[in-house]
Amino acid sequence: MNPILRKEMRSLLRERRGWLVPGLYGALLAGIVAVVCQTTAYAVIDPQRMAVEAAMVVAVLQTIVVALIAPILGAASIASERERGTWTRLLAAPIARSQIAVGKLAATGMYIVVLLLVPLPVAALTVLFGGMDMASLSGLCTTHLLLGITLGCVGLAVSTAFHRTWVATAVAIALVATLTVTAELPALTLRTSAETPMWIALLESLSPIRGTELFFRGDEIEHARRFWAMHFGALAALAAGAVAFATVRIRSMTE
Amino acid sequence: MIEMEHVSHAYGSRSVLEDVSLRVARGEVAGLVGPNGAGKTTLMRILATLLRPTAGSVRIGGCDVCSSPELARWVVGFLPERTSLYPELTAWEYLDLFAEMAGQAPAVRKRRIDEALARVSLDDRRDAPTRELSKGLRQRLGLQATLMHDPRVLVLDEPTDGLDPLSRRDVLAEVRELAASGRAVLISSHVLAEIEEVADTVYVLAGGRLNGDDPEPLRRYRIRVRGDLEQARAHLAKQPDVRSAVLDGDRILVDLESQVADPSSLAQSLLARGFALLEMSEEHSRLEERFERAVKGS
Repeated sequence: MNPILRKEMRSLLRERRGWLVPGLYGALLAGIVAVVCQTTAYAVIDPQRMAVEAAMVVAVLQTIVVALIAPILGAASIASERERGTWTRLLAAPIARSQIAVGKLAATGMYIVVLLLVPLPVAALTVLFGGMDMASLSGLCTTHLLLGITLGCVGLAVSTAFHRTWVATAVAIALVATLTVTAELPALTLRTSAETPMWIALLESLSPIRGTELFFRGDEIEHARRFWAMHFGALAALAAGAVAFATVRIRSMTE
Repeated sequence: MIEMEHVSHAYGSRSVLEDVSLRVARGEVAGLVGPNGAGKTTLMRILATLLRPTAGSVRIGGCDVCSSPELARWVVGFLPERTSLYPELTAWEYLDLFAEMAGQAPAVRKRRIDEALARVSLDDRRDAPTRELSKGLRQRLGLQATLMHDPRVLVLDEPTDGLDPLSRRDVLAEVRELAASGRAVLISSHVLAEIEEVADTVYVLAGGRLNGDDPEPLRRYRIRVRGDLEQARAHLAKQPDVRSAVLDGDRILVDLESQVADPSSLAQSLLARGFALLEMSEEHSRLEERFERAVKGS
């Protein structure tokens, strides 16, 4: 096992944030779903419709949580080491710098997986009541995992440039917000015909909320597949770029 | 072990080190003293591969620090000025991190960590989070972590800073032990008495320059004998641990190589050769004087 990953997991298990964030997220999710069930007039007469709404709540909330937590985790990974004064020792240790980057990234990914597990009980209930099928659930989980890893990579890249955790976190969040607005705005304002222009489709595929949006658009399978492929490709390219930037920065880091 | 030749370093247009050359041999403890901002930490960070010098060459255990920093990191162990540990990790886990980074097998790792914890008397508190340890214990634990990959060279940046006298004594004793085991040690401190106590040679850094490339040994003895002075001098010069023996009027000045060399063996050897020993006294260290001279000169 990568020693940095092992260290990060040990730290996360002991730190308050390690269990506080998933705990709060679980409580928030349960609360919102309960409110949806209580306030929906057709809850008794049409449980499937209620399950569809609950599935939508789970998907949207999951997107927001992943889009917020992943860049925060990534941004804190190196900046917090520098802030605490532990980074120098890691850089002087006989371990490849790429191993440090891999360990930090893997730890972010592991935590994202934990966050993805939190809504599974509620999601399983929506599947049980016909709110979504198993294929959609696993597709949604894959989308969120890819989104989390990508935004974690973006956070890690930002983290290499700052010495203060809060600055790195603020910049990472601002970057994700800018990416979302830049990717969504042309589609919202310029799309006039039924056929989306290619440049708008390409830009839109970079949006962090694109994956969740595709689930609820009800496109035809062939049409949806094209958008999926574009979205996954865009996220993978963004992640690769961020990892390359972070690796180059870490390899050349002196302090 | 450490060979630094004509090293300079600048942060932008501000020069921090200028034409610095130093050597530290196997089993030697070299002290580095200097006022604040003299460039001590910069020099140590260059040795730890954390900074690249703007000019000059640095070799550690035969590895060029500039062209092969990855290799050099296997040879050198660096303890930075302010040792921060991961507060949520236990003492055992902290050492495990460094042993694992050195790629050691689990069985070897366990043995080395247990030995290290025993050395700092932490074997009964191995599962205590490092935040619960005293500053002295944290510093000693940090030093043990530096040793996890068994480096041949140690670069210790003010390892006793802020420690109480007992912890300070323990750390210095450990430094001596490490040198005795064949490692080359470069240690910096603001406390001159401490450096005098532990170091075989001392480099004084002021204004980015070293005060003399050939540091004076710290222990000098003034010996007076009855008999042929030149013969006695030649005899003393051949003794182990004697760096030099020179005539100074009716006395012989003997510089010892190391702090641990036993001066009584000099007296015994003179007596055995038939010289009557009239006087043998240790000359007081001139470190403070050198320090003042270097600071004024810079």
